[in-house]
Amino acid sequence: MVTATGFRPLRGVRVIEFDLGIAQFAGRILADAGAEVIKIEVAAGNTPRNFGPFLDNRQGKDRSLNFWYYNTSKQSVVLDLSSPEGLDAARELAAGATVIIDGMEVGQLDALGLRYEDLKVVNPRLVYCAVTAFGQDGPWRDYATSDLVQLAAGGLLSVCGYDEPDGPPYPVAPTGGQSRHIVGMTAAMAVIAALIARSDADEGQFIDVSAHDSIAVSLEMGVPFWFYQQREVVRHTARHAMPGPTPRWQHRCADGKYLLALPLYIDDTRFAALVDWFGSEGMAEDLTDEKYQTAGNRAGAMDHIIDVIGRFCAAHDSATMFHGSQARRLPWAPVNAPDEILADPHFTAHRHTFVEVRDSVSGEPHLFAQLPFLVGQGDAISRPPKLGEHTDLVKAALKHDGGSDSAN
Amino acid sequence: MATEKENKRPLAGIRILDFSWSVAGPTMTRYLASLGAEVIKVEWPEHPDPMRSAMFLRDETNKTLNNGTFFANLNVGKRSLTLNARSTRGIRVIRDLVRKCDVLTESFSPAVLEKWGLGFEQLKALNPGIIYASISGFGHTGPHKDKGTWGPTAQAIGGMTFMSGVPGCQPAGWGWSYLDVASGYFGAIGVLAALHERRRTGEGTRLDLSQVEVGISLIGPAMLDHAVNGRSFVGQTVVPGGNRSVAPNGQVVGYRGDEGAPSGVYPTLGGGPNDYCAISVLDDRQWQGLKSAIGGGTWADEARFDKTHDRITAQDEIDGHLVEWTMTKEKYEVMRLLQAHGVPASAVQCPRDLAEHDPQIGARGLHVTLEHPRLGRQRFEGMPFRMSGTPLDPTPQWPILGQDNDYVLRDVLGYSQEEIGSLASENVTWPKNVPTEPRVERSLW
Repeated sequence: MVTATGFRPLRGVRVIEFDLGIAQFAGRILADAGAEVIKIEVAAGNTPRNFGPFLDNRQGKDRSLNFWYYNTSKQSVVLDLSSPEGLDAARELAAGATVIIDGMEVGQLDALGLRYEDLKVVNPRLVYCAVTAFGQDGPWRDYATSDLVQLAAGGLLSVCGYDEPDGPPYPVAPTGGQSRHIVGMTAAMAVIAALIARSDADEGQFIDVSAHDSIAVSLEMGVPFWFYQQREVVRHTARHAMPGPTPRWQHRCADGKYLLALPLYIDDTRFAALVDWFGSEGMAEDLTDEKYQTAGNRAGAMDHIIDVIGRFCAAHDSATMFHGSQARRLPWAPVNAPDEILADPHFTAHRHTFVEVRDSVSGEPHLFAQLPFLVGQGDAISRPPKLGEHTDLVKAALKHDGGSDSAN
Repeated sequence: MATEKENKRPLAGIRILDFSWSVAGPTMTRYLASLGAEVIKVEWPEHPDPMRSAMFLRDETNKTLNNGTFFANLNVGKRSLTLNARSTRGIRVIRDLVRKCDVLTESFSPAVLEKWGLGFEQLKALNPGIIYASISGFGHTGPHKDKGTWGPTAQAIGGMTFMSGVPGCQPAGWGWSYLDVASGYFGAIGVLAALHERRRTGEGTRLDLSQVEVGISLIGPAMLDHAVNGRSFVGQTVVPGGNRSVAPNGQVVGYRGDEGAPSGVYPTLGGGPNDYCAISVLDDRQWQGLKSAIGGGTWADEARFDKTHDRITAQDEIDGHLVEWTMTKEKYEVMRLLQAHGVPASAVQCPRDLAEHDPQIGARGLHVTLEHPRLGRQRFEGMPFRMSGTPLDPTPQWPILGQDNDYVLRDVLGYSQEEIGSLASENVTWPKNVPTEPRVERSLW
C-alpha cells in the first residue's frame, strides 16, 4: 500500500468508523490528517458506493467518485454485524480503538451490542463520537433525513436562492453534500479536542454531534439579525440574504462568464481608481461627477453605480475584469466552474492544492483537492480503499494482538 | 472563578494571540475559546475589527465599538488587548506575548507579519512550539497571494457559486459567507491537529489556510467528476440542477451524497417566502411511506412510480402532483405527516424559525442566554456538539476594547505597574484623543 507522506498530526490514532453517509467526511478529515481510519462496511458495500458519478461512468462498488471523495486514506473492512463473529470482531476493534465514529442512526449500534457504556469498561480512554442528523435527544431525534432535508431544517436553504427576476422564488439548495461537510467539520473538531483532553485525563468521553445544530450555527448573519433586531432576511441572487434590498453584484461579462463585483468596502480611494479605470476606456459615464466622490452620496446612488459597473463588465472578458479590479484593490472575482480551477497554476503548480492519487481500479493518477489545513505540508492523501480490501489484514492483526491503542 | 469542571475544557491552559478580524479568523478562535483556550484579541482602536461596527440592537441610539451585536455573538469568550503594532514598543510587547502563547492567529494580507519582523522563522526563534495559523484569500504563496477576497468572492473563484442554482438561470450562489464560516472551522481543526502534534514533538506548525482552497475542498465529488472523468461544467445548463440530486435523464446533478426522487422544496399553505417543505424520497420503502402519508386512492397509487429509476424519469410529473398536496397544508404539518411515515422531510426553516419555532433546537438548548456588559441579557449561538466530560457553552466574556490590558501586561507578561503606566502614557496601549467607548457613526449593516 502506498502511504502518504507529510504532516501527519494524528498518526498513531486508530479510528473505527461506522457510517451510513453522515459521518464519513469527519472520518476523511481524521484519515487525511494521519489517523488510521478503519471503515466498517457491509458485504455489499456501504450505500455511498452506489452513488454516482462513477469512474468512466461505469457503475461499480469501487468506481464511485462519491465514495472516493469521502473515503480517502481509509481502510475498508467488511464485517457482518448481525453475525456473532462479525460483532465479536467489531467489539475487539472497538476495545483497541482510540476513537469510534458512529454515523449510524441514533441507538443503532447500542442495539447491536456496541454501547459506549459497555465499551468504556474495557477501553476507558475511548473517544466515542456519535454523528447524527438531529442529535441524541429531542423530539426530532429519530427523524429521517437527506442532504436536502438537513439543509432545509438547519436554515441554510432559506437564505439561498434568487431575486425574483433572476430565477424562481423558492429556495435553492447548493450542491455538494454540504450538510455532511458542515457536520464533518464540527465532528472532526470535537474529536481532536477530545484527543487533546484525553492526554490529561484517564478517561475518554462521549461526543454528541448533531448535523442540525451544526448547520444552524453556521449561517453567519441570519440568526443574529433575528436575535438582535427581530428582522427577517430575504434571499438575493449570489449575495447575502439581508433584511432589505441590497445592490446587485453578479454581472455577465463579454465572454459569457459571470463576475462578482462586490460593491462593499469601496472607499474613496478605491472608487477613484475605479472611475479612472472605466474612464480610461470612456466608460465612466457620469461617475466622474463630483457628487459621487463621497461615500455618503455614493450610498444613495448605488443602483446607478452598479448599472455602470454592469455595462463595463458586459464589454470585457471576466479575466480582464478579475486582474484589472484586483490591481485596483477591488476584491472582485470571476464565477469559475470547477474545471477552471484546474487550469489555474496558482493551485496546481504553486500551492500544491491538489495531489495525485492513483485509484484502485485503473491505477491512473487523478488530482484530488487536499484539505485546506494540510496544503503545503506534503501529500496527505492516499487512495480510497476497495471494498473489503483490508478485511483479512485487520482480522489477522486482531487474532495476533487483539488490537492496540497506540496513541499517546 | 473557574470551577473544577471548567478546568477540564479540552484546551484549558492554551493561550492564543489573536490578530484576526472580520469573520473567518474570529470564527476559528470563537470555537477554540469555547473549547477552553484563552483567546487574547489584539486590536488598535483606530483600526478596530470592522465587525465591531455592524448590526446594533434594533433601537440602539448609542452605537459604540463595544456594543455591536454580530461582533458580540462572534467573539464571545475572548479577551481584548489594545496595542499599537505600528510602534516599536508595541512590537516589543507582541514579541513578549509570542513567548507566552501557544498559538498565533491572523487574517491579514500575506506580508503583514513579516513586516513586523514576525515571520514564522522569527516566531519560532522566540517560541519553538508556536503554532502560527493564517487565513487569507489565496494563501501566503503563489501568484495570486496578494489578491484580496471576501467570503462571496472566494466562493466564486473556487467553483462553489457556480455549483448552486437552477438550470437555465445564472448561479444562485450562497446567501451568506459560507467560506468565512468554513475557513474558521478548518482553521480550528488545523490548530487542534497542530496542538495534538506538539504534545508529541514539542514543535510548532505553520498553517497557511486559503479561503479559496477551503472552497475547492468543499465542492464535493463534482471536482472529481471533472478531474477523473473529464466532465466539463463550463456552459452546461443542467448542472447544478436546483434541489434535485439526479436529473430526469439519470445524470448526477446534486452531488449530495444521496440520490432519489422526488427531491425538492414544495410550497405549503401561507405563501410566504419560506412556506415550503423539503422532501426527499431516497428509496422505494420511503416512497411507500409517502403514499401512506398522503392517503390512498390518489395518483401516487400508480405502480409505475414504485421504482426509484422510474421516479427519477418521472420527476416533473410527480412534482406536479405533490405540490397539489403540500399546498393544502402548513409546512410543519407536511413535515410531521411525512416523518410519521419515515419519509425525509423538513419545513424550510428561516432564522426566525430556528430561534422561535424549532422544537429540536429548543430541546437541545443550542441557543444560550448570557449577560453581556453592554447589551444586557441576550441570546447567543452555542456549540453544535456536546462532550460528556466537559461543558462547552460559551463563557460570558467579551473583548470590550482594552478591558484586559492590565491582565495581559501584568499577569501574563509580568510587567511592572510603572511599565504598564508608561505604555499607556506613550499611547502604545490606547490612542491619543480616542474616548474609552469609541462611538460608531454609521453602522455597516
